[in-house]
Amino acid sequence: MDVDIADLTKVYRPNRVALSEVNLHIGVGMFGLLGPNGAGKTTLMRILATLLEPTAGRVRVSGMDLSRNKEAVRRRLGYLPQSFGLYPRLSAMETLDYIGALKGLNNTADRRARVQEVLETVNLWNDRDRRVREFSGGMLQRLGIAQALLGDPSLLVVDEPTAGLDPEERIRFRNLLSMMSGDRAVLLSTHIVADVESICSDMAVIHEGRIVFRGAPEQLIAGARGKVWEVRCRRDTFERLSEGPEVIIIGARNAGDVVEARVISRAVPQLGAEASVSQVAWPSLEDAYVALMGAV
Amino acid sequence: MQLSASEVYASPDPARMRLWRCRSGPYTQSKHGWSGRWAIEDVSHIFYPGITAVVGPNGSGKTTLLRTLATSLAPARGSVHFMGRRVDSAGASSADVRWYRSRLGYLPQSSGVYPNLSPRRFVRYIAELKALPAEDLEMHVNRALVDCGLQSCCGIPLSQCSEGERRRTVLAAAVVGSPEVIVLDEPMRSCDPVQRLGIRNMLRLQAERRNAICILSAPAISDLDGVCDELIVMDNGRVAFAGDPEDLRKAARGGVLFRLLEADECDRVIDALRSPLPSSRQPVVSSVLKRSGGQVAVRVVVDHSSALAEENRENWVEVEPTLEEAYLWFRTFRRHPS
Repeated sequence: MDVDIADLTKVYRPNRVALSEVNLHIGVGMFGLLGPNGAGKTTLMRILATLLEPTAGRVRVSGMDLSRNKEAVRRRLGYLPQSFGLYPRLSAMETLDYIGALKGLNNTADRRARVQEVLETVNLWNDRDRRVREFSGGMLQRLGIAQALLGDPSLLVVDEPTAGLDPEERIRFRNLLSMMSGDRAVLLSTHIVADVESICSDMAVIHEGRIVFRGAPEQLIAGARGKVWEVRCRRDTFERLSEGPEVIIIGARNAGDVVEARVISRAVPQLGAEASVSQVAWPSLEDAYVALMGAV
Repeated sequence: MQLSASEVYASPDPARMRLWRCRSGPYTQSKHGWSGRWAIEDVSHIFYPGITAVVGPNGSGKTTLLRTLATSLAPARGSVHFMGRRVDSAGASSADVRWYRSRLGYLPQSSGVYPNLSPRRFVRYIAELKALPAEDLEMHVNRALVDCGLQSCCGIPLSQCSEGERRRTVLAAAVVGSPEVIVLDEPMRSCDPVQRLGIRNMLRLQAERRNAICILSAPAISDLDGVCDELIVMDNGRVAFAGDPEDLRKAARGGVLFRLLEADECDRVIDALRSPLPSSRQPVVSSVLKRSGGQVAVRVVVDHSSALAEENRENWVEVEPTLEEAYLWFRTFRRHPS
């Protein structure tokens, strides 16, 4: 199973280029897609989900050309969009049975068995007879994944799935994604960098319609090594630091009279004698992402 | 957490906000109809200048707490004091409520905008409603637009802006004029990582320069790591933890374990960790990272590594908890003190 994207371009209006000659190869496992709002993440995912026609370029899913074999690709595809509507009065089981029928699982017994299987995978079997409108946000998201898994897809496209989930639901949901990645390719788009760090072994950063990083999270982190600093200084010194150029502040908090901050800077931050500055040996993925986007 | 009444009504103290035994509704509605539970119950807390983050599961009362602080909801019991004056909309004089609101910036959980106005016009309109002095108005509006990263779209109608831009416009309207109390309900929603960083740094500057009390809720704990000065964990309408987030992290030390597993032994090893323990004490998985070589890096949160059986412990390595893991540890093992 692999997805091969070559010279993919999408232009909405003459001046609105969403994707510009994107080349990307996605293999089996968890693949994280990061990037600013409006960078083209959702466009890319919608093209992969066969919902949008690219302007130029091609996509091959397991060797099949996407634009010529839409039906065949759809049969191998599971898609969880940013927001989706369900029939509130149907139960979880009825919902999946209905979607399964739409997906072409025509044999009733097979479909029932598959519905039970995916409900067990996402841990909703005990809630199978409850109506969808009673579901919490976390349960709805799990039901969303369950419907995406119905056709046993080899490619799973998940667009910002954790919005609206509380912290524990988010942790459970991302681990569920990771656990069932197995021999599937799972493409996850998110704004929570820490989630990519904790479950993705492969990733890309997209910016203004172009891929600006492609590799393992460790490689992005390695690129930021030597640029991330922990500083501890007086408040007024910190204010001067935050106004200065070429320094990006990742986070800062009060610790009594002093400020403890984490900053990105190419050079050692110059803060005078009273401040303590130490280099962070192993930056977080968020540090590395911010360093990349801030061109530090 | 509990304060005596005399402590709470002590001499007015500038730049503090006191919440005294607040109970707020509305009653939460569930499938059984009105459940008769207060959304927050008997909550007392003193907020200081700096950044305070309110976290907790859905339905734990975060939004009700923030709405009570923002005078958008009147407490059914209890009071809110700011700088010694009572300011909640239940018992304060309308003059005091107006006085407080002129010092308050509030971003509600869901907010509407006027679609025909541009972000600049919208923020200026709110600034005029807040009666900011006319001579400083443009300066304040510009600063709020820059702080919220709206320079590129500040001239086009909000109806043509993206969802994130609309949300940040309302955020800019909340912080325009550098209010002394800033209450933000999920300010980072639909923001990308760099925008999240921008909001954090903007709040830090408000807290440092204006000595502002910034109170925010955030559904992603990783946004708060190394950022907030104080953390409040809500549980079922009550405060389960309030204090320095580093204290929570310290308490969780020894409770986060790491191990590199082969893919096929993953389920078995995690089950072996769980099965000897009663369900309330069972470890929870914090992250599962399948590496390209076939190995799986697993982090689990346990009550304490010493609570595990000897043969389970030896292959796991204790690691420094992230704030998210510290939260998970607290929610799983310290929610009901044993």
